[in-house]
Parts: sequence; structure tokens; C-alpha cells
Amino acid sequence: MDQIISALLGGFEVFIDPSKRVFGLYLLSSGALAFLAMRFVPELCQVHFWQVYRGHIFWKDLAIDLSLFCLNPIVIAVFASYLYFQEELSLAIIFWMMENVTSSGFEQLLDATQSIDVTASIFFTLSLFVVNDLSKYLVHRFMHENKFLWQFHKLHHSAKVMTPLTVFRTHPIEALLFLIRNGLVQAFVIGVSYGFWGNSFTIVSYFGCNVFVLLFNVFGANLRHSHVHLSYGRWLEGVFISPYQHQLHHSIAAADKNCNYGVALALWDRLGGTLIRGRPVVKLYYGLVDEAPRFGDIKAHYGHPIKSFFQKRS
Amino acid sequence: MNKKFGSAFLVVGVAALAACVAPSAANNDLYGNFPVTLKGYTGDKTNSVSYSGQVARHVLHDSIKKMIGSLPAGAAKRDALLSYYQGKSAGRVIMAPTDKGDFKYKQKEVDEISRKKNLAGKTDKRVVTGMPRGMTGPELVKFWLEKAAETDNGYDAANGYDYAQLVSKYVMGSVSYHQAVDNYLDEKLESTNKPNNKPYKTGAYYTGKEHSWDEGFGYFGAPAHTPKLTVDEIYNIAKRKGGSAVLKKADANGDGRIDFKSEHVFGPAYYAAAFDRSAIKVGRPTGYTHKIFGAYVEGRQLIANAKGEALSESQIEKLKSLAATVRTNWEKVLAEAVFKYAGSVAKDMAKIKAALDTGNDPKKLYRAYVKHWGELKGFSLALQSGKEDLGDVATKLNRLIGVGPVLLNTSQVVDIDRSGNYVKDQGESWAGYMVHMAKVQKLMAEKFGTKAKVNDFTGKLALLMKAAGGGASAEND
Repeated sequence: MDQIISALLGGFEVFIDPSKRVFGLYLLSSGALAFLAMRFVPELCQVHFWQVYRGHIFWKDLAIDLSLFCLNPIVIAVFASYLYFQEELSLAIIFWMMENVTSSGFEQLLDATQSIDVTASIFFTLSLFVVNDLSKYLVHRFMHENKFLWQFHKLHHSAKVMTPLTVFRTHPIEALLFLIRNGLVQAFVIGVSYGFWGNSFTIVSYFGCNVFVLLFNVFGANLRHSHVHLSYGRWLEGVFISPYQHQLHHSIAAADKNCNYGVALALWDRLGGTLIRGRPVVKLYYGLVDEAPRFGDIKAHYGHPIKSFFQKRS
Repeated sequence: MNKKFGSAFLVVGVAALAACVAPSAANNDLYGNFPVTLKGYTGDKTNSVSYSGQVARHVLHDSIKKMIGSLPAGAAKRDALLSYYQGKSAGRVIMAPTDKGDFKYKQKEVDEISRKKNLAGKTDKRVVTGMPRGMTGPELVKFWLEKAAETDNGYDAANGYDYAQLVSKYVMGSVSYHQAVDNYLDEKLESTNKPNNKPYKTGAYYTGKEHSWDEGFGYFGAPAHTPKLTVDEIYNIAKRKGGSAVLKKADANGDGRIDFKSEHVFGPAYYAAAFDRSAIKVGRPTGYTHKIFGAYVEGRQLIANAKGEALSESQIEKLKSLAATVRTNWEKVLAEAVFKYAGSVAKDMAKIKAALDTGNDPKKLYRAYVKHWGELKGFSLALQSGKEDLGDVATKLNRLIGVGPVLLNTSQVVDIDRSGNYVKDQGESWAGYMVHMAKVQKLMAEKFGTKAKVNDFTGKLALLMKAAGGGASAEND
């Protein structure tokens, strides 16, 4: 019960936690970025929010996002408390590395007095960001291509009106997958880094947040789920996924299907042949073509994928 | 007028305060000179405190550890070790602690402290589940002593055993901790058992409860004047370090010699102080030594205050709560020791691996590894000698640590055959065993709330994971 209450209260901490997407200052920086872009490079940024605002749909989608924002942490807290595997896995990788791959610096692993090496720390922090980003691309693509997982992920795509809170529009089963993915990535990167650099690295952070994650969030990550179509321009969109590219991923237009699974780096979509760069920005419609009405309320949201799974089985 | 009244008030106040404080200050903070309260006692004793039997056992323990490490292999070694462990004969010389520099000890033979004492009779009789073949505590110690007698220095490199460490650390738990928390501060606290209105035994000058409590205290091995000592001083007294300055601190009666019976620091108190020291250094004070000591003194004062009458239920309850303070803090000390040596073992393994990779001889490092493993195993079994069965915590601990350390060829002792020979098999991988050590540390921290955390090698990892973030979030990028 305590766990559930703290999860419920903890849910709102995301607005004051710099490691979270919807941290207040990131919301502000996204707004500022959109404003500056519209003012100085209008061809890269358009706001179509009011055009798609259709009264009850806006409130309905927002209500679902908010409900999930409040309820998911409780559901997740219930199974997250059983996931202790991460630290053990890291250790297993560290020690396996020691035994089979490298010994350099390893005896220093257990030496707490070891001084911090700047290069190693930057490399570690960057690796964590890059590997994490790759894993997100792979899992995301799999969620789309696997019929069973798509039942869960399509709930995220059911939003017709997107706001920064749409990041929380996630089925708990999907959240569990994210949790496992995150644990595996961290264990792997931390484990390998220890193997190479012993105890001499730390995470390069600002306000307790990985600097690369911080940069990603500062530069408009909250616009990804919104009706502010911000493109980075053709060249840069081959390097980083812009908010507009992610919006194309959410678009219901047939031409935009199955593109831009990446989060921060465009490299994975380029390699996977799924990258679509931003054309001149145009108004987009989000959502699912045929199934959207089924996700009218929170009960349907939680229950639909499981129901459809059993229906298909029988 | 006002001034006069003020002065008078002050004088009365100070006098009243002094009257309140003075009598208790004489006794309350030290463990000594509690009056004889036994009804009808006509002898000339004035101090009812007595725990010399426990002190004799500490000295037997220290002597056995010393003899394992120093006597040449052979039947004579076996006989000598067993005479100290299970014999009761007169003439047993105190082999340790012995005079060193400024440190001179009053007693030279065990019998000068207490006669006809041994350790076997007081070793935990339950089956030791952390070792093969279902041996009881006394059987296990005897087995180890016999094995030790086959070596010159108690070191068995082929199997990875350091018998001085195994025996010493296990006995510290299975005799001292076990007797204190599972006997004297347990069933002997019940009102019907060793009542306070009767002598402990016929002819004794102390009551049943007085002596039960004293015996519990004796097993802790702290000097009677502990409150006058800092943890650094307690540590140094046990280590015989710090020259005349520390000797003066130890020598409470100023006769120039340390009296084992009331002035020396033995194993359990030494470890409590050692972890208190480490904890201060890392800014997470533990205060184990003084918490345990304080509970003992408070309990003893409560019994003295009863003036030889049977204790009431509420007094018994209070004693039990003080006993619980002793028990939980002592248990934490043992858990801290397990935590520390799991870290030592992992560190040794990393060093050995590095030496092997660079073509250096790991012989010395291996010796330290076996020593630390012996301490780890001994303390882990000691931790299981308490009042409560540790259940799945014990099972996990015993499985993680195993029967022997992983040897350089990754074999490991896994069993003992009917003739008492070790049986080896393919063991854990070198890396896998290090993960075990990390899990041991984690187990100690989670189940016993260790705070000193000496040799913590997973703490930084946990911090790093927290900083890496993303734990229980459900964000759909």
C-alpha cells in the first residue's frame, strides 16, 4: 500500500525531476524553441494545434493521457519491485569481462580511492546514451512489426490529439518491456565500462541527469508529441530525429507508415531503411485509421490488447 | 534579600542534583562493584559481579588460534589443541594474549582466571547447516582442529583453508554470541529459571539473575570500564598497540598490568569497536560497542536494585528488552564482519587475477585470499549461531559462500567424505564467485542493515545505476 501511495505521489515528481521528459524547464525550452523557430525559420515550424482541435476529442485524449499518467506508476510499482536483476546482471557482466576479455585496470575495480578519469567518464556517458537509443529503436520497431506487441503499442498511437503528456500513454505491459530493456542496457554498458576502466569513471551529469539526455530534452523533445511541427532541416534530420519526424511516425497518412522509429539519433533508422526526413512541414492528422474508437476510455485502454490477444487465439 | 534567596536556592539545587547523580555515577556506567544482594548471605564478599569463566574461555579461544598458527604439525599439536578446546586439565598456559612491549598481563595460566573450563561444552550443539555431513558445532570445531594439527601453521593451500581463522571466527559466534544471546540472555531470563531470590547455585554469593546476566556480559569480552574508553582505545588495547599511553587506559586499577578478568578487550568487543571506528570514518556512526555495553550495565543495575528479591514481570520484561538490544547489535556486528570479508575475498580475487594476467606469482595474494575466506566462512557460521534460526537468509549465505573458496584451477571443496577427506569438484567460475561475494554484501545490508560497510564494492554500482536512471518509468518515446 505504501508503495502504491508513494508511486502515486511520486508520479507528479516528473515535473520537477530533470531526468524526466516533462520536467518544467524542458517544457519551457520546447516552447521557446518553437517560438524562435516560427519567428526566424517559419518554413521549418508550423503550429496546427487549433486546426486539429476538435472539442471533445482534445479533452478525451487528454483525459486518457492523464489517467494513464496517474495509474501507470501504481501498476508498474507492483511489478517493478520484483525486478532486482539489474545489479546482479551488471556484476555478472563485469566479472565475466574480467575473466574473459580484459584485465587492465580491473584490480582497481574494488578500489574506492580510484580517481575519476574524464575521458572514461565521457565515453561511458555517451555509450549509455547511444546504446540506450539503439535499444529503444529496436524495441520500438519490434513493437510495430510484431502482431502481438502491436496490440499493446497501438494504444500509444490511438491519440488523435497529442500533448507532451502523451509520452505516458503506454500500456503497463509495454512499460514492463521498457523496464527490462532499460535494465539490460544499463547492466551491459556499466558492466563493460567497469571491465575496461575499473573504478575510474562516473556518469557525466548535470542536475543529476545524463548530459546527453539533458541536451536531447532541452532541444525540443516535448514537441515530439504535440501539434507544433518543428523540423530540423534536411541535413540535420539525417543525424537527429526532429519532433516533426516523430510526428510523421504518428501520422495516419499511408505514405508515412512504418517510419522513424528512432528517438534521438537518426542513424538507426538510416541503417534500418526506415528514415523519412522532414519535407516542408504540413498539417498532420494523428491516430489509428480504423480502430481508434475502441480506445475510448481507460478500461478499454488496459483491457483491449489482452482481449484481442485471446480473441485471436480462439 | 533576593540575592540571598537566589544563592540558597542554588545551593539546595546543586545538592539535590548531586544527591541524585552521585550514587548512580558510582556504578551505573561501569560494569563492576555491584553489591552482594543475596538474602541471608553471611560471607565477606562485597561485590557480586563474577564472569571469570567467560574470560577463561576467551583466553582459551585466543590460545587455540595462536597454537594453530604456530605449533609444528603432528600428534602433539592435535593433543594440545584438543586439551584447550575440550580438556579441563590444570596447567594450561595462556598462549595468547602474551606480554608485548608495554603490555603486561596479570595472569599467565588459564587456571589463574578460572579453573576447569573448556570451550567444547559451551559450543552451539545444533547441526551446522553451512558445512557438510551434518556435524554439530563441537564436532565441526574438533574436525577443524584435527585438520589443523596436520599442518605447521594451520594453512591448507591445496584445499584453501586457514584453520586459525575458521576456528577463531566460528568459536566467537558459536560459543560467545551463542551462549550470551541464546542462553544467558534468553531462557535464563525467564522468571522461573535462575530466580533472583535464590543463589545461582548452592553456596554461591550471587543470585540466579545476577550471575546469569554477568555470564552474558562476560561473553561480550569488553573491559568493565568501557565507558571510559574510546573505540580507538578499545581497538588498540585488543591489538596491543599504542604503547604506554594505551596501556594506561587499559589498566583501570593502575597496577601496571592488564587483568584479563576486567581490563582486557576480547574478540566480540574488539570487532564491535573495529566496526564502530570504520563507521565513524565513513560518517555513518554505529555505536555498537557502547550500545551493547550500555544495555548490559543498565540490566545489571536493574537486578542490583531488586536487592535480592524475585524480579517482577515488568522487570523481567525490561531485562528482555535490554537483552534484545544486546542481541540485535551483536548480530549486526557479525553481519558487518561477513560484509567486510566478502569484500576482502572479492578484492583478493581481483588482485590474484591481475597478478596471473601479468605473469606475477600470486602466492602471497593467494595466502591472503585463503585467510580472508576463512574469516568470511567463520563469521558467516557465527552469525547463524544466534537465538533465531535465520531461515532462508542462512540458506542463501551458505550456498553463496560454499564449503570452500574457489581455487586457482576453479575447483572447490564441495563435500567431506566419511573418512573426513575433502571432496573437490568443478567449482564456481572465478567471475561467478565474485558475483556471489557481491550478493553476500547485498544480503547483509538488506537483512541486517549494516552501516559500516567496510570493503563495500557494490555501493558505487548501485549509485551509478540510480544516476543512469530510467528505472520504473513508463514513458513512450
